[in-house]
Amino acid sequence: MTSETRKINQERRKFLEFVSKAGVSSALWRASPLVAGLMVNRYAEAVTAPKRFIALSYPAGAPQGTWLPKSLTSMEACTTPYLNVAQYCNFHLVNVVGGGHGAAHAALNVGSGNSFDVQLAKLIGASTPYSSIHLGVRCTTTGDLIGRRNGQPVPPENSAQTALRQFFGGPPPGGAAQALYQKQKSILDANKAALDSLKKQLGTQEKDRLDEHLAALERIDKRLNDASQFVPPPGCSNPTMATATDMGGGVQSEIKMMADIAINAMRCGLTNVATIQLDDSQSNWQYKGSFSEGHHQTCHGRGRNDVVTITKYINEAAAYAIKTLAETPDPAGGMMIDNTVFLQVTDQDGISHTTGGCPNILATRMAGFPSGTINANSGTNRNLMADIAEGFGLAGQIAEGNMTDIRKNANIV
Amino acid sequence: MRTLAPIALVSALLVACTGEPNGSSSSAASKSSVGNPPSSSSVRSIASSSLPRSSSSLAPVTSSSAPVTSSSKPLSSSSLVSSSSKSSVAISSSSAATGLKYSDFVGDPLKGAQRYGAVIYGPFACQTCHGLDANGDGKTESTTPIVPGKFTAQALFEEVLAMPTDAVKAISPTRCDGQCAADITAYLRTLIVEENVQCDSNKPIGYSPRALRLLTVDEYQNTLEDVLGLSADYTGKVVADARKGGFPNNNTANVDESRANKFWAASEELAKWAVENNKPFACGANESCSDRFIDEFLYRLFRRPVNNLERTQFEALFNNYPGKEGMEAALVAALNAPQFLYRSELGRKVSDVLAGTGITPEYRPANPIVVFKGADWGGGGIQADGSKKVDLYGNAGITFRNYTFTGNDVVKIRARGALGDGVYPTMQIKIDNKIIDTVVVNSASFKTFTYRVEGIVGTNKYIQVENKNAAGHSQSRVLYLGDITFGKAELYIPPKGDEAKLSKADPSSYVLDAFEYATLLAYTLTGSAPDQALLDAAAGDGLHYEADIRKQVERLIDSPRGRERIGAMAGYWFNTDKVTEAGADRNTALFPKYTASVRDAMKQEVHHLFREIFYGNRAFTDFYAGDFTVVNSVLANYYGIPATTTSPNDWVLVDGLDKRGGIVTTGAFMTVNAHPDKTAPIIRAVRVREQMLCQHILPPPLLVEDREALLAKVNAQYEAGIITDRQYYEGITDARSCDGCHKYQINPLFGMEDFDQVGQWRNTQKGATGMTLPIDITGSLFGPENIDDNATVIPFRGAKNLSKELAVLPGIKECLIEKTFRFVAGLPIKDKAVDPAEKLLTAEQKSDFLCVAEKAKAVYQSSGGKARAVLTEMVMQDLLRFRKAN
Repeated sequence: MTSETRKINQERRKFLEFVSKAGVSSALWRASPLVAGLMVNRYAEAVTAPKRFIALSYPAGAPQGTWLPKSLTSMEACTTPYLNVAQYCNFHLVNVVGGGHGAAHAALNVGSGNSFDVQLAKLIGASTPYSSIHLGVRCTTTGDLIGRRNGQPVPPENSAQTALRQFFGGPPPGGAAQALYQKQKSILDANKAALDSLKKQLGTQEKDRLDEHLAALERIDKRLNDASQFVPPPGCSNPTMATATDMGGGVQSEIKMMADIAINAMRCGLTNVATIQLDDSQSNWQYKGSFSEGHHQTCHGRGRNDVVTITKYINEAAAYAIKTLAETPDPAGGMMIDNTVFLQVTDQDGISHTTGGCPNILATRMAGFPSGTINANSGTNRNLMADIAEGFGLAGQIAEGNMTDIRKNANIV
Repeated sequence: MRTLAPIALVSALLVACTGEPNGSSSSAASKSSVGNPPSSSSVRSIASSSLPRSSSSLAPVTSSSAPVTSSSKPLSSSSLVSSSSKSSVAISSSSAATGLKYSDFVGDPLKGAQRYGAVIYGPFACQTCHGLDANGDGKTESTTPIVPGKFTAQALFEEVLAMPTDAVKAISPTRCDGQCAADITAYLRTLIVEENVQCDSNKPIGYSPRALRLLTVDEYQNTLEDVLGLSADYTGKVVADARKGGFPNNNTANVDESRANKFWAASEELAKWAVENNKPFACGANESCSDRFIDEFLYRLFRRPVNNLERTQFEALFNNYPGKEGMEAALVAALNAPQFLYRSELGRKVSDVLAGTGITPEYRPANPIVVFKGADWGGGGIQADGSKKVDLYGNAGITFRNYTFTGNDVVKIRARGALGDGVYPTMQIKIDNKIIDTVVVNSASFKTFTYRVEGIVGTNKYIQVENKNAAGHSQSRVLYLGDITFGKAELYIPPKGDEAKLSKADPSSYVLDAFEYATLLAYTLTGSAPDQALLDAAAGDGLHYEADIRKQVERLIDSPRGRERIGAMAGYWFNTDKVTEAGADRNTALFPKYTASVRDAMKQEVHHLFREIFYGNRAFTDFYAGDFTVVNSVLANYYGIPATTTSPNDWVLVDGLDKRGGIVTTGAFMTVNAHPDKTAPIIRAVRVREQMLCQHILPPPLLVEDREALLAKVNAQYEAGIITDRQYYEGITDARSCDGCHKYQINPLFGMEDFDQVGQWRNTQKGATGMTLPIDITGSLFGPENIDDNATVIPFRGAKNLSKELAVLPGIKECLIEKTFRFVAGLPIKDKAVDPAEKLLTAEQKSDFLCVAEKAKAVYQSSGGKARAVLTEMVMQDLLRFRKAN
């Protein structure tokens, strides 16, 4: 049997070919009533502009001294790709608490069993069909994942094709969709009843486990119900997708594609929280050209300039995501970047594997957030996430210097 | 590991660690260990668990009272806080304020070890003050030692959360909280010296924890293949497995939104495919297929009889959505059902089982039974399936001479119906002119109707079955009668099981029912749902007594799925299946012969080799010491081994090899544990220790001094093509901070360099510039039985020689037992085998599991070192059936 990874790669290659053919992606998206239906449903009800969050995680940071720009018009070696979007960016060097080997998850860890994105999703993703979406690029690890829910890793979707199908494939419009939902609901009801029955036999810990399963089924139920209420699509019919493949091994194109999926899912009201994780901290993906080893080995075994080359290559995709946010109209008004916070995170620096100066970027034009700043000593990554929560009008439950729980601030939200 | 405290902060270090400027404390209390807090302490160490945490009562070291830098500049937390007020760090001296629970985290001891040695607190690491447990006595060596065994996990966690000391806090406000603290706690708990665990040989029954095990990806796939008839690969369409002890293990995995979405998407796709392809059976557009779906398909998918509530739910789906649509809906429901996705190992309370609670007696026809065949009705209308056709308004009747009614009998009638105007036929049964029942035969496939008949005595009784009209007239509404079975009514009380054994168990413990146990056996030994024979055994009395169980165990092990499963066990154990994954990709220009089919053959080689050991009546030591391997034509050609194999599907044993033989020299092991551009002698050494000897090596420290300088030096030589891979890795680990692991435990095992990064044997290596370099395959295995024993050493030359040396070590047997238990029970057999993501064992589990280990050792000995004997012995242990709450 072909291995999972090989299949994922094959699928990815097929998908790249698929979207590279002009018009195909548009047709696919046009055929997605789910997208439009949800978008209209959501925004028709929206009173205030949505607040959204995208995190892009990549391993191994950048070599020291190559990240913080001298000014917004004078980038450093690894940050040159951000030159055209620098006005939205806040460049940081943070101490990633608990980062290092095997600790990609430290990047969004705020000190509790739920990672920052998962906590945030409970508050700003409560009414969307997906509380959050988790996408991966070459991220086939099962343990070292940035998302944590109740201490358990949240696995990302690595196949762009599957993600598209899952998030944008929908039932046919009209009454048929509602009939389909009734059938799906009766199925889910049977499954929920079985979970209830099973819970009665269990102790507290296992009950919590099944409660999570039950909540997941409730979420599917809600999503399918939303999807059954079709409204003609006014804005999600023809999104732009990254199509070009790149010469560095494909990772850059794949990040761009996942960014497109995340941004469009947000634009269309499917979710307010998305994460994209490139590989894990052992980063085995291989940059092409003269490189014959995996990314992590490049950090260990090659010179600084080689690590810069790869970091820059990744950052080009991150800059693309920021640019797309800046150039994509938001159905709620303004551009997507006006209502979205983009956070680029990592687990360690590029060569020495220390965690004290890890490059992060916070990019947004959302009210209440600064733009275009350069911050050499930004404290810990947890401080930065606490700032984001605060900017969203959410209060971090600060304990011992860490934001262990985020809650709604009644005065603001 | 070297402490990395800047010289300028030496005095601060002393203050921080001892609570006294210049480390001048002479208080005896300062030498107290954790768990023995000093009565009057100026020491702010982890030892102070029982003391109040206000800074005033602990370490009265403040910036004003203790100048801590050479500049005498008072240090306060605010002086080190970012100028951004939003990013400032709030400091509280009360750890209780966090309200954090250790059990909410998955502490990673490996990470914890790194963190313990990393400079978290400004210039300090935990280790700076508290030291390491150098002699393995469960206590760190320091004037402020830690004795983790004195604490509960939560108490230890809170102590770590309370760090750093006020003195260190004054220097750096950085904290290690939440996950960080959990990791350190997990690490510290690994220092706990195992108490003298004994197997209680007088204890009649051992117990493992109750569990709800989410199917692994392979189990999900295999079940769909066997029960639904799937041939496509769905392993990539559901969320990948968690791993524990190296093996796929979803015992505590959650079905969260991501996983549930995947299951849902897969089920919709599978249901559509199944209906289009008549799976699990053909269901016509106008047929009612619910009974067959429930009684056959669902029975196998749920691995137990379907209960009444479930039956009603699934019948409703078929009723509301007839024909194929109903089938598709029912399939989606079944494939998302927790009854399918979770393997229940919850059991029933032993006291309830012994009391007969929940057991429902039923009447069955006693032997000798009499069967009246459908064709025995005679006359017209006999169908190809042997049934008798009864048209609407028609009836079948006969005076039955072959059975003598006793006044208390059971009659079972099989019947099926055909829809007429959407309505199934109504069957009325009369015996001796007495109406037994009038019932709708709402199934296009045969369904059995069972009746207890009282008050009819004697022979030659007239039996009549009529197709009565209960709806609009439709000639299509036809009734078909199958066999009728007669027998004297016998009250059947489902067996409780082995009551003698049950009565020895703790009444408050749980025992798996026969179907749960069948499920455990099937997934453990075949990686799939129970087959029909096993379900039949469960439905009868066939899985309660040792002899019956052993028969089933041996049968499953020898089944085709069993053989696959045993091969897979080796793939999991040594992680060699990864040879087909992207991480083992190589430059095709440099290695044109390293093709996809070679890689797949390498993966299979490990499976075949382990099967050869397991089924071939060979000693397990041959898995290491043998001069043979198993190859197909692809691999024989790649290895350059003369073999009689003729095709990729023709696997043959090749013996008498000089360079290969044994797991260490397999292409997959050597390739998986290599980098794309060079070998990975460090990883190979670690894998030998961890996978083969079940020893444990700590991960490298976060910061290695002189890393850049070492790299620069070694890279230059490597790129000049004048040093080998081995020399390269020796060079980059040539630092004192690496010595702890590399001096004895890792680098001396670099003698496996006679295999390159694509699993080919070599006696020289091409340098980076193409120059041929001699390779050094000399090696030494230090600490063969105890990793910290640097005085005992076994020299070797090359991978094969090392493999032979490994074969005679007791660690090989111990590791077989540890890994087999992990494979069978999904659990660590002892504390040292606990995975970071697992709970520690309870005292009772330690003792019970030790008993299993001792039995396994005994059977290993008596069987001549057979892996099969070890696995069978473990599967037969009572603790798999008897459970306690965890």
